[in-house]
Amino acid sequence: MNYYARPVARLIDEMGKLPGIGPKTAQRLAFYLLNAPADTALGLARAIKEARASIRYCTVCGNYTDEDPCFICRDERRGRDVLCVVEHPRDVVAMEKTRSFGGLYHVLHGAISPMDGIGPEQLNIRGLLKRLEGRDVCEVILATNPNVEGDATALYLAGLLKPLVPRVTRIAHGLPVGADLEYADEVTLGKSLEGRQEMK
Amino acid sequence: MTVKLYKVEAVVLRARDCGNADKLLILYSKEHGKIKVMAHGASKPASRKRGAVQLFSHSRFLINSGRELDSISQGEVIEMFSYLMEDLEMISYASYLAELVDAIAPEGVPNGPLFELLLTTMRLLVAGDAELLTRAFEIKTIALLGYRPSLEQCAHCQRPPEGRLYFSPAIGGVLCDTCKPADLLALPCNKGVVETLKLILRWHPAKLQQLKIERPARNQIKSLLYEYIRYHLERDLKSAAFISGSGQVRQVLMYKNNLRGSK
Repeated sequence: MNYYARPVARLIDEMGKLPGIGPKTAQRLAFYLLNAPADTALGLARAIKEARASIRYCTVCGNYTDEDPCFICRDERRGRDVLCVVEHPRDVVAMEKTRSFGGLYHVLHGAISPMDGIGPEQLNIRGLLKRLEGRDVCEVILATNPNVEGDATALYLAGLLKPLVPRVTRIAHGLPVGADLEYADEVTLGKSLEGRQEMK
Repeated sequence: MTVKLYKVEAVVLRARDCGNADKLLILYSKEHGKIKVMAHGASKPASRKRGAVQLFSHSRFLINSGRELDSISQGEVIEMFSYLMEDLEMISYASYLAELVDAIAPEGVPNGPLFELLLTTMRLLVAGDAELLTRAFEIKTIALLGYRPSLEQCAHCQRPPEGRLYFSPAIGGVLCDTCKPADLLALPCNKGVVETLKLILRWHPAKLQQLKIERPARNQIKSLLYEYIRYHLERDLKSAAFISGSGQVRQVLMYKNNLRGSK
């Protein structure tokens, strides 16, 4: 039985395709958009359309961008001798929020996962090697996630890059700021002990 | 409403991101065999479960039974196998062991010896012969789950196998020369390979280091067992292709590094 007018049913159907949105939430969002001022609903539709039409991958780093190269790769103030390799474009945002990194990025678009059949050839590694050719990059920071897939990717990249770059480093593993030692899990605590530093 | 809690000791076979910070886990437990559970908030930096739910971790869990899916209430790591994460090839082998158990073990059926075999093999991987340990794991696992191939006698005529030997995944073991027409797809093998299969099935994994097997025999054992597993699973295992790939990758890397060194 059809409970909705056809355009409403289609809107609910499309909303329901988004991650984490079930049929009830899809219905609520669809009715919200129908009741909201025209600007809100049409603004959302325009934003989606524009983003889809204008966003592509940066040919240098692989991040999402509307202009090629992306604004980070174009920025003259950033150091060109340090590259930070991340798994996803959202990791670039996370790193940028730290305001502690002034170099350039390289986005792999995934991580090596034997169980999912994702190997190095499916990642943006060829682009990374091309970037390093003939450039004076003195350090590559491997900022892949601290899990099995991230470790596998970092191991592979380290083997590949060590002969090409003077310094290949991996981001530290350890306790999050504000954490309580008592509540830390054994593995994280073990890693933070391994990576302890001398007091300055 | 009563909340039913139960404890398990398990190895994490698969961890998939699900929702914002949740993980859907497939565990192989000592008490309940293969189980699927949700670890809510396990990807958050402050989560106490995070270490226990990492792939390949051997952990103790307190699980909340839910209406549809059970969820992890607490987790404590027993063994992390972190040394496996220091080598891409070891990660590939460990992934293969986990994927094989996930694919072949039925859900909710405990199998203590298989649980122990998985742990023993994971522990020995780094120090031992990873390839041979994996072959032993394959044949022992299929035997423990009731798919043991017939090695002592011809799987078709039940007589001691003589003459040229074949291996038939469909009939379930070794075929003698006379019975070869029963399965035209049977793979050629020889007495030496059959004897080695019997040995690796019988021996404890820790003892396998004493076995010296040449490359051609290793390749033959690998393809026989893999075809046998593939016949029963009716599909390929993704990490199996990755193991051969990672071996090639390592060779390419060594070759490139040697080239650079010689320049």
